[in-house]
Amino acid sequence: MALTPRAIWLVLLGIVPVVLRPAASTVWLWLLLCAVVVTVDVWLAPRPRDLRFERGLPASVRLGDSASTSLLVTNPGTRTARGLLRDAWPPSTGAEPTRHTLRLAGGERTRLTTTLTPTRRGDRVADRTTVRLRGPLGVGARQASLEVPGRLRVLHPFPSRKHIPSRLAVLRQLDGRAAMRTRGQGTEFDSLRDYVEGDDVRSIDWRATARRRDLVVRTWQPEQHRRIVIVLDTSRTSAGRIGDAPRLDSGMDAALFLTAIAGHARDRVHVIAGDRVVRAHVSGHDRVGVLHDAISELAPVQAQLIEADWRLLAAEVTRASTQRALVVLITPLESSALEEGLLPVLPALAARHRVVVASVADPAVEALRRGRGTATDVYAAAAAERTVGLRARTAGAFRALGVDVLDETPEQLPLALVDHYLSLKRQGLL
Amino acid sequence: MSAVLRWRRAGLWLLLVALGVGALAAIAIATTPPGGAMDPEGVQAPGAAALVAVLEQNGVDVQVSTSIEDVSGALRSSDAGTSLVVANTTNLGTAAAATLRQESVAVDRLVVLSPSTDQLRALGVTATALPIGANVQVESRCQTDTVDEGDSLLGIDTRYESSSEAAGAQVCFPLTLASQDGDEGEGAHGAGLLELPSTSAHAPVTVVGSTAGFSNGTIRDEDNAAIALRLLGGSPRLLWYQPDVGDLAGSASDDGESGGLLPAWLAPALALLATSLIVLALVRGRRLGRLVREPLPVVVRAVETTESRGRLYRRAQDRPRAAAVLRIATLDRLRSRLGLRRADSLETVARAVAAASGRPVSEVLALVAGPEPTDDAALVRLAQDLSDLEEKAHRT
Repeated sequence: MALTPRAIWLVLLGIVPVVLRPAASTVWLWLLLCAVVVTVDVWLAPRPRDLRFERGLPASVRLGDSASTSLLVTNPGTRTARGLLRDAWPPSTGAEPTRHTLRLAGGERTRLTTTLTPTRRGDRVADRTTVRLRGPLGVGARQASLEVPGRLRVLHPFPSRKHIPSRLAVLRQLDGRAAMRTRGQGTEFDSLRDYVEGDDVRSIDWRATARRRDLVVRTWQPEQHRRIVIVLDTSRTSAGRIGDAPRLDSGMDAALFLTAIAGHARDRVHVIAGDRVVRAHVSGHDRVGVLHDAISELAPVQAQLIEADWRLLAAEVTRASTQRALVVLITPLESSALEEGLLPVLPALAARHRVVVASVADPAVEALRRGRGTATDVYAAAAAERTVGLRARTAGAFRALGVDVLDETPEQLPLALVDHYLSLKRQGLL
Repeated sequence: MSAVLRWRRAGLWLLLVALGVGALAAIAIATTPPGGAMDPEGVQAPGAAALVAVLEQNGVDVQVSTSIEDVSGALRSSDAGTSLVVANTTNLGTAAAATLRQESVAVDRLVVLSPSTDQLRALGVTATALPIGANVQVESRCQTDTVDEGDSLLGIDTRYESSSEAAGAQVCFPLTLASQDGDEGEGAHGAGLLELPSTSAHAPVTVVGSTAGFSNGTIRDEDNAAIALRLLGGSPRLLWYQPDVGDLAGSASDDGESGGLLPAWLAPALALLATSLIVLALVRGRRLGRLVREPLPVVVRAVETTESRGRLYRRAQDRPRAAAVLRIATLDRLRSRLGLRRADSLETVARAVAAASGRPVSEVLALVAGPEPTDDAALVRLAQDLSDLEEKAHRT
């Protein structure tokens, strides 16, 4: 049960009888009357549990966009239900409005819409829906909290998706299908076709031309159906924030961008995220499906404050692809963590696969490094130089094992990673 | 919803207005000068500075006290040849009045201007005070030490009826209703002045039923000045007791007779108000459903370890290490820029850098492999020189 503001006025109304008969007993009698009125009103109020609820909710929304969830409330009784309804969501879901006014005649139903503008990535689960229904006098109310389940998956904003068209153009150029009149730079023989004006004369296949008595050119295509395994490190070092977002989110952006481009290039992509346990493993042939699955599966993955178990992650890579593959390890270049964890397992991995380590660099370190103003600045600059030096040392150790190392700022990393992938493809090194 | 909001807003405004009025009333009460009437230093119409000045000219030592403790102290030090006047009885509590009676037993005369019945009882005088509601002029019709037959006093606003004729009590300025039928019965309608001889319980007391008769505004009218000087100037010392609000304590309200001042419904109404506050707390305190938990992410800035390392260097004043780190970083960058190998000796590097930057080899060597800086200023200089060198080598 609950009281409404009218109950206060009801009590204050007692001043009239008190002025007419100023005695303590008047107060007691009035309060007793108030209690009786409130009790009767609460008793006469409709029961919230009699209402029926049905939730409508999109499965997912991209971070930065808004979704709306609707509650279809049905009043099966005969009395009008008046009161308040609160559709409770965690604060980071950005639910607006937080409460609805309910006025539902018997037998009718209504749809209450709440707009959700999430501020963080991950799964958001609706809490209980609370209904407070007033009695006929409006001084008391019945209240109940009911489970109306709902789950909204807030997806990674994937900001680098705006670069997809430009990189797809590069890929088409590799493929020989581009509008540009250049020979495909791929290395695998694809097919023969008729010469059209503007084709490179060097690609004319004279033997076939002689057979057909018509000019025929050879086309080439880049290697296809290669395997790509992307490993996202979700351990403690990925939790560090650059600007507003954790390093993990920038790494995820790069992983999704590579997944999108490699899917178009008809390569088979695996995305593995994990630290001491594997948090997500996405794979598939279908290029649209794998990107969709990766975005969806990675959405609830958050950085954990534990050390990564690279032995386990390397085993997962081996399980994903027994053939030679391009293995992309997205992890911050933190020398102490990587030299103890990753370095011991890296030689075995590099021997079987082509390995790329992609790291999110912090522009703030670069800014610190340039500090020359005061003694404090210079000490900070020395510390930044030390950090840069340690990262360079780790990168050097990786390169010595034949591993490519990319260390770029959050905005640059996805582009750098995909460009590296495209250059490997161009050279037929996959 | 909007109607509800409007009502709520109206209620809020009502509350604000009520609070504002209450605050204004409190300010008005707090800022009213205490004892404005018959203030011995007041030069306005209700003050009594004129009377005090004339008394002092006539050689009377006027001492002003504002609390019963001061009066007691003054009386204890010496009460011979002293008169006492309570010119403004507004703030005279019954407890203070009782104390005053005990302490003033030995004074020459106690003059009280328009006291109430309760105050009179506390002073040991059995008489009933009856406010007239007007300032009237009355003739004395008596002959005492201080009042002559035929004196006329303007400004009587309270009449006193002595319930039991105290021995030797003298009654002056009798009030008669407008009747010419010879009804001269003083006491029948009360009198403007009572003189009571001293008893074992109190000093000689003169009760004057006039609040404003001896004030600056009216003292020159009729025979007011003469009566005032005779009443108050009889002793070489005059204690002028002007009680302030502190002496209200232990007033009539403690005697359980407060009914007259506060309306009877106030206490129960306040109880209702308190209950409504509790109801308000219940109304506002009932949550619409439970709090929702929010799993919060870890917030650690990635650059934090680097910054902490910098602070560590600074606190340790580790100039050698800071300088070494900066030099090594600069050398590494210069090596890669000038196409030198890691294995190349320092001299080779210095010569190449000198050629690239146009600086003497010795200067470059001193910069990249010179002595450690001895203070922070030297460290800052070294850091700036190193970045200068890098820039120069870059440009050429």
